[in-house]
Amino acid sequence: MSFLLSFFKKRPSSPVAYNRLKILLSHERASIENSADHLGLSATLLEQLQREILEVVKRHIAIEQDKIHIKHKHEAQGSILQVDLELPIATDSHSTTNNHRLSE
Amino acid sequence: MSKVLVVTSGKGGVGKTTTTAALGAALAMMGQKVVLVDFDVGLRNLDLIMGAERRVVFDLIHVIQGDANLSQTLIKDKRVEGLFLLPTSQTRDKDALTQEGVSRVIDELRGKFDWVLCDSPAGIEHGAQMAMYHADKAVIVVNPEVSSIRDSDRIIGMLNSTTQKAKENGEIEKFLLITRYDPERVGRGDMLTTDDVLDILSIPLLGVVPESQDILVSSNVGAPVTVSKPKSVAASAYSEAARRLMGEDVQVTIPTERRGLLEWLFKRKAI
Repeated sequence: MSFLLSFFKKRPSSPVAYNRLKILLSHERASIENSADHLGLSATLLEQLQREILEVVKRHIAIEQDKIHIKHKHEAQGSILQVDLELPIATDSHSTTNNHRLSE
Repeated sequence: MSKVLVVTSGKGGVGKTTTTAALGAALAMMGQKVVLVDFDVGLRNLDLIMGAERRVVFDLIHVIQGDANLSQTLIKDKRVEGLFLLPTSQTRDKDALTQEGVSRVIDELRGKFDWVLCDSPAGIEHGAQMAMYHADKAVIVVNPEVSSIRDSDRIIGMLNSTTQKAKENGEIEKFLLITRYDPERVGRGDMLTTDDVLDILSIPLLGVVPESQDILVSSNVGAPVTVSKPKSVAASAYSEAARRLMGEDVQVTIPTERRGLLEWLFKRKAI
């Protein structure tokens, strides 16, 4: 009986690993390719931008390290540098998002 | 013509140093003149795996800073003719690896050896960048496991973008070496198969090295597995890989389960 049970219960885990990797890597490859484009906006430059923008904002508003996200992506009309800042508001239970779009 | 080959992986503990030692020794046993360069500044281990830890006087950083020359620093292997080690520093940090210093040392080594094998540190930072920068070829060591595969993918991306070859619009010749492969778990469906890994990373396969007791035994005694256990399955996987690096057309052997009848019965009962 226990043999039968284990026979039915046991599912190989490697297909799960394979599928997870396929999805993850296609996503990661795209984001890394997008960040290293013809303008030389490398991943390190984006990180630096993120750090420096955060410093400037921090001088005026109390904001947390992980509340800023910078993305660089290509669209048909041109490439977009998108800066997302999550700002704390007075009640502290909600947050708003301001998008600053710089189109090239 | 001399070739610079980086052994890299991104993730730590997958078998870079073991691979550098085993492949280097296998190439030297084929009559090539080989130097193994340890780039893991501050956490050197290639000297220990090669059994040369008590023979280190000068190191790579001394050479880079002009405090010693190569002939004073290179350690000649006592077992394999034509095999040399360029150890690294235990006390300095990775910033001591300057771009122009490393270039100068690599150029000098190219003049003396057929193969310059660079053992990269784990990670994707300065030390790893320096180890891969001058490479003509790269061996990416990967375990059939999700985090190792993800990190390898990052490293492949870096090899294609931040190396000298890439900057000159060329391409580093990349090979995949799967280590710690466990045929039994693959058989059970709990480890990614060689085909799965190749399908995900899509670079040519250099070899498949099974998880093996012989590798641990070899590192215990300070010898490359291709020297201390040349008949073992692991050693023959490395020797095959070396022959492939030399351009021979050798079929890759995928390790399979080898179980006796008794063991088979025993394992069945254990389920």
